[in-house]
Amino acid sequence: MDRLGELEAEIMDRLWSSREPLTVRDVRDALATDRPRAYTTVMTVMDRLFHKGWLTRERAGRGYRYRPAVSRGQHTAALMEDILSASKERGFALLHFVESMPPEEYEMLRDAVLWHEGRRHRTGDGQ
Amino acid sequence: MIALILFGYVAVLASVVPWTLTGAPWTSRAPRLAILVWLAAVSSAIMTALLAGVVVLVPLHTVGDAMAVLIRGCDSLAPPAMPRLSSPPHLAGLVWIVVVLTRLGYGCAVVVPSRRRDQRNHRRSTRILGRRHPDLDVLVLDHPSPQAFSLSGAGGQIVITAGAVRSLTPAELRAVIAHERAHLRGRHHLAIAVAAVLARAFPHPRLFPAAEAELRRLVEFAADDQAARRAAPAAVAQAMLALAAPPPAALGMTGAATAERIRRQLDPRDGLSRLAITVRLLLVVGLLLLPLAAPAATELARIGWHCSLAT
Repeated sequence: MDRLGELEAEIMDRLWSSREPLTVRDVRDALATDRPRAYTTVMTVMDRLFHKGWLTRERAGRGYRYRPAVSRGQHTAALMEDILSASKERGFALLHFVESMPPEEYEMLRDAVLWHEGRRHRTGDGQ
Repeated sequence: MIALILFGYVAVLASVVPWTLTGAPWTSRAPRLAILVWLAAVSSAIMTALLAGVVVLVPLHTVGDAMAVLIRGCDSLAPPAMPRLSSPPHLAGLVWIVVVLTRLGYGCAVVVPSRRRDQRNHRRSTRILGRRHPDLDVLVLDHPSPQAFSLSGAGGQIVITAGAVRSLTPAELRAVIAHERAHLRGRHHLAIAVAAVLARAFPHPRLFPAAEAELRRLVEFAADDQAARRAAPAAVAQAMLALAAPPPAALGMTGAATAERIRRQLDPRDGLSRLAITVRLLLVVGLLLLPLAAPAATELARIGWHCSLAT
């Protein structure tokens, strides 16, 4: 399963760095040659990426030409927004390092941290 | 009747545990132990609630027979009596068990599919959008806002943003990664999911929602302590500060837990004494075994009776 995951990432990389739509064969040929992939594998993965909304496609002969649905940057921004806005009802798959806080509270804590840092250095307790 | 004792036990547990445990100072000094106590308490409550229904439904001597087989290996027993469902207590017992299991099913239905879907989608998205950091075993997302998080499922994944890599010192970065790794190693996502299922299945009494809220807080303390071992408490505090900085567009999430987490690292208190730890571990064992001991106690006294009746 993880090999297919790597393949998804490689395929998206190819499509994002390409200026034009690509067919399955184009992508398969462009993939790293140290690990050749079967045509059907690449086709299956690209088809799945299309159905998951990562790619759009147009007919090209008997097959398709694929394009990324959204730019990498847009996708990343959307992912971050999704993760950060996940309410308690949905936050079961991941744990943030920290949640953000109101500015006043942040200022108070920053002062506290700075004060402690100062005290540590004054008492020669550095590390 | 045994059932009344068991119901009484659940009622006591449901009121005493949230009252004494929520925000108790010792939980901040020994978060992992506190997590254990909370999990034992909710397991004990749900097991006993179900057991109470079982002992109403099934005649006690059938329970005794089962234990006799296990403990004394009697090779023949009196035939088990079928529950007479026409009798009100037996019917109530059955209804109770059905209600509890249905609520549990509802809790699972609310939490599990959404969790699984998020796991899959986040894993796919971060793997496609992120790039492996050359030295650290993490994925880096090209986003300016400093963030870090751990994904559960399929071995787990730690993700940090390019913004975090830019704004954190090497020590702070080590602290953040150690913190997330502690979440994964301690299976904290799973503990919270279990608590979430129970909290949605049984919003009343306070025990289960309180357990979920406390576990969310305690796993962060536990992970912070692990991180502080690898990167020093000061680095953990600094990292938290760097990542908690309010973004230009405020997201409206409160950081009450963050404030307490930072204070804990700035002013660490001693751990619990060995006696205090032992007492709490005994409490955990007691919580898990006591519900089983209640029916067992009466039945064990009559085990000879069960076997001799059959021979």
